[in-house]
Amino acid sequence: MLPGLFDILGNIFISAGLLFIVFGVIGIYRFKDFYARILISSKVDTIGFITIMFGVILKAGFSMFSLKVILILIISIIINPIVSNAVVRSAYYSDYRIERKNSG
Amino acid sequence: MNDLILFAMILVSLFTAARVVFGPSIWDRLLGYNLFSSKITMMIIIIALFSDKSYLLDVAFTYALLGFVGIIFVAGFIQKKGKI
Amino acid sequence: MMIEVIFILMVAFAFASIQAKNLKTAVIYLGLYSMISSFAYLLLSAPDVAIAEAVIGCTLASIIYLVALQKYKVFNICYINREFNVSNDRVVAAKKSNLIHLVEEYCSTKDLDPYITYLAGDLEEHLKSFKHDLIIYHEGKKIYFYGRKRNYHITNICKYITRRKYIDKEKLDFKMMIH
Repeated sequence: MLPGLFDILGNIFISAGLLFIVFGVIGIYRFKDFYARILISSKVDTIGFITIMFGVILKAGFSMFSLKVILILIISIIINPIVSNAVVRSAYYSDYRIERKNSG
Repeated sequence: MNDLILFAMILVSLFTAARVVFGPSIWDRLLGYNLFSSKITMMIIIIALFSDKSYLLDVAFTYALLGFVGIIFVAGFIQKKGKI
Repeated sequence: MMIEVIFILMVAFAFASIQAKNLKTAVIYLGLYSMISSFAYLLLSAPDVAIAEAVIGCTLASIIYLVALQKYKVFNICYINREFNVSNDRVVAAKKSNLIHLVEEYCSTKDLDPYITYLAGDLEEHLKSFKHDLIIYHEGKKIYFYGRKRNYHITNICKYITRRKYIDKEKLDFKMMIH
């Protein structure tokens, strides 16, 4: 009984993660300037990654497979914000502004 | 269920790749690159789970470790105005 | 079904990287192309080739291309339009006017790499801290070019634009600024 339960739980978590990722992809088409897009999509994508990996770990059971998945998850959690920071920093120092400074 | 999940993943990654092609500024393209590489990592892990091949995880590991180097270098190249 | 979609994406990105006008964009397209091709190797059950392709194509090749792009001279262009207050996608698409295309064309004939920034700000502020090589200021039907006196490319750009008969109705006003 228990393995079937874990399977269903894993499917639910993977579907929830997919929902998050779909929201992120809607976000990069819905917003009309670059800073809003990267603000939304980086966070939603990271949370979708965490949720999907959690579902995969539940489905695979606790073995060597899920240990590797946990390692990939930790690396990806560290690296995703670094990349977003580098891209926004590059845009900011190249004078990419979206609003005029002194017009109310 | 498995086919449905893979179908949804590939649809989402198609839309992300479209942002890379149509992005007006170069930073939009970099954003799309980042999202696409993370989606490819997810797809490899899900394929490895469904087909029960544990060695596919090594490829996902390589993607997660090395997929960001190109983005960082291109971003630094633009920021420093043509110098690495 | 999956492998066919991946193949179509590969062809699309290879075509886009050939057709791209900006070389940095072409480097990004090539990195994505090699990532997709590595995924195709993985689906064709060759994970060792996939690892080699991911390491070489995504990181090493794009870094080598960027090192090669260092040989281009950078030409900093700043485009200010009086009418727009906020710059989002629609505004950037509207700003990509005929004028900018002509400037890009000139830069590609002289082996220059144009870095165009679309700024929404006051002109005086940017003139005070003169960071760019060329400032294009667009107000109504008048277009002003600001540049340093020693930079001969700016007069050449103005000659190029007037020779190509950029839209007659708009008066092209030309100014030099000594800095």
